[in-house]
Amino acid sequence: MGQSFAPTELRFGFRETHVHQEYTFAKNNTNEVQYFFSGLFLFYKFAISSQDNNSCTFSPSCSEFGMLAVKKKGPIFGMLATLDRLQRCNGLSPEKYAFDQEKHLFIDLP
Amino acid sequence: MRFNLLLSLLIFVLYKPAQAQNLYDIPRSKEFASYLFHSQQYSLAAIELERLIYLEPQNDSLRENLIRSYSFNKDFATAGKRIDAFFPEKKAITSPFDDLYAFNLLADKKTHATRDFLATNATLNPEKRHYYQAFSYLLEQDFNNSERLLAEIPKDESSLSALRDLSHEGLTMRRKSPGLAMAMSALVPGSGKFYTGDWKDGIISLISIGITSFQAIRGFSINGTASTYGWIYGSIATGFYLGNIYGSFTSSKRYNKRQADKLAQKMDAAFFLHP
Repeated sequence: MGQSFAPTELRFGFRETHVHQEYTFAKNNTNEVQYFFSGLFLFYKFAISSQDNNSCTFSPSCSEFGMLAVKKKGPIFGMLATLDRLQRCNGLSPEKYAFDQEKHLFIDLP
Repeated sequence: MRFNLLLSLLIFVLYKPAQAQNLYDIPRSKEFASYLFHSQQYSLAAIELERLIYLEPQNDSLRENLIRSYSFNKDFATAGKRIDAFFPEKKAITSPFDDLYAFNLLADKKTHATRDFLATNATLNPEKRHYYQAFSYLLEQDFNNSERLLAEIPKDESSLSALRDLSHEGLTMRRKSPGLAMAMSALVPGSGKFYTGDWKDGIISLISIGITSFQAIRGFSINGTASTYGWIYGSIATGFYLGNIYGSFTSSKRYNKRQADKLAQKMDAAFFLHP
């Protein structure tokens, strides 16, 4: 008889933190550039980010911010905004951002 | 038969007192609306007053209380629309509706409409007119025009002293130049953010760009331009460098917006404290 686990528990004692999410904003693409960046985003989310805990201090996370920024500001300014966001993702300036009580993260929209 | 006769008699006898208990007649409805208004139940008062105005369309006292109910309930758009309906011709607006109309337009942030109305109206007293005109410019953060207007008005109008302070504060408010912030970050990474007050983000940018640049230079100096290591770190450093310049621009914009929002809060407080 194998040991049974609760749905949110994984083997080796790690708690499952990555609940399957529907990234709808990565699906409603209108041009090739958006398809390209959505592909990069989804690859990162499912192949790389899913292997680790969520460590971003912001909501939306940096990768989600990047996707949203490219859609909102275009590829050049969207990428620049994302590169700036990566440098701001340090948790040293909590007084400058609103706090999401539900997610326990700081809110920073593109 | 006798029972039916008695019942008919009873209904006939009680008919008059029962009629006297009509809670929906005009005097009692006015009493009830007045009770709702004075107990600060403004949304309910507005409903009752709307019913009364249907019964007495030309009663200015009811109209005034209705507009005040909407205003106190912060439903400025509806208050304005009701005055529009009462006075289709703006020149015909009489006191106190001229004051209420200007107040509700401004509270609804319709600054251009307020100035257009003040230009056509002749009944509002000069002090109130100046107050609303100056405030419309302040709400638009057009401090040059508010200063110009306030300078033309005699200083004895006491209600304008708060506006003079706000206008002066707006003119002398410290703003950060986005261009200067970008130029500073282009010269020394992170310095644009020191300038805009985000010094912790500036330090992180300086360190991250410094480390990745150092690694890129190290890679290129060992293996020349064939260094994959150098190209990878060089790309990251360049991305961070450009991102930091863009971030300094947005940081200065955010700083200016925070300053403007603080002033807007003071304006709201001053406006709603005004009698």
